[in-house]
Amino acid sequence: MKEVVFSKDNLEKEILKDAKSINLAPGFAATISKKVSNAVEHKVNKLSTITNNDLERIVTAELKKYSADLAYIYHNRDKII
Amino acid sequence: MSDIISIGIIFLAALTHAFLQLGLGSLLLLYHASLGKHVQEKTKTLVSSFISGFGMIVLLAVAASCFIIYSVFDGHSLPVELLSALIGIIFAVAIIMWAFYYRRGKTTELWIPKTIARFISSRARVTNSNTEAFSLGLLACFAEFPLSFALVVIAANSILELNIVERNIALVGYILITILPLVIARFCIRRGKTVVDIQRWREKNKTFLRIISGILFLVLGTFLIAYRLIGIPL
Repeated sequence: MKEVVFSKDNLEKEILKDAKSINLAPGFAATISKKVSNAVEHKVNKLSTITNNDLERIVTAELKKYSADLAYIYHNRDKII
Repeated sequence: MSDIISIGIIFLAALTHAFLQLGLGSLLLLYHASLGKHVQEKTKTLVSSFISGFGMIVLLAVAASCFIIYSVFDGHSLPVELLSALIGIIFAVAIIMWAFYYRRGKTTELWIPKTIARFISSRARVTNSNTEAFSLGLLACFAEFPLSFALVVIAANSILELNIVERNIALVGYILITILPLVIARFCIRRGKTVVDIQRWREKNKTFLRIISGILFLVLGTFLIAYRLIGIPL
């Protein structure tokens, strides 16, 4: 398991890119990215260390609350081939 | 009658080649990465370049195989020993399709080396120009060559058994059938489907695709044994 450093800005950018790729409305995408990155930051701050898998699991769970498609593409972005 | 058998082999080989998944997976990666940072028009040209690159390497591979077979065997078909070896490879690939090609679990990941998969993913993410997309298409097709090699050689051997006009038609036909899944994916996304829709479809029908791929390899192998090795008359 690889330990990662969480960056709220990077996560927001990643979510916005994923949202754009599945044609989500820009306003909705911006709202989701802000809400999700805030929630993820809140959860991550409670942990002493975090791995790539932990972060992916937390982000996917948060994204699922707003858009199943966005959660799916985030979760599978490195698992297409 | 011999022409019908040759055309049948070329069609079967192309169809089997079309069912290999690395090209489609790479195309979806490119679509996903490009739609996230470019306008749709730019993505369309990138994807067209990718498909051109993919088609180009298929064209070059089949044409080069034709040239090599023609030169080495003085215009004759592959000898029975070589054909038998290729049929053996085709049966082996059929087993690979069923047992290993798709990774287990709810994913469409393929049993290709992780380094190659990571390299294609990273290239798809940074692809911004048509040349890069074209190269990515070349790479995606080339990376799957260990599995498609026998198909290309078998198709080239059958193409050489046709007359000069039919050869060109068969070559173009082979390329068109091979790139058909990519063209269909491009068309679907143009009609409003997203990468998620296509990816979910692939995941849901993974078992079906696996079985069909294996069966197509088996059918091609059996067809070759029946009409090329044993020589059953039509």
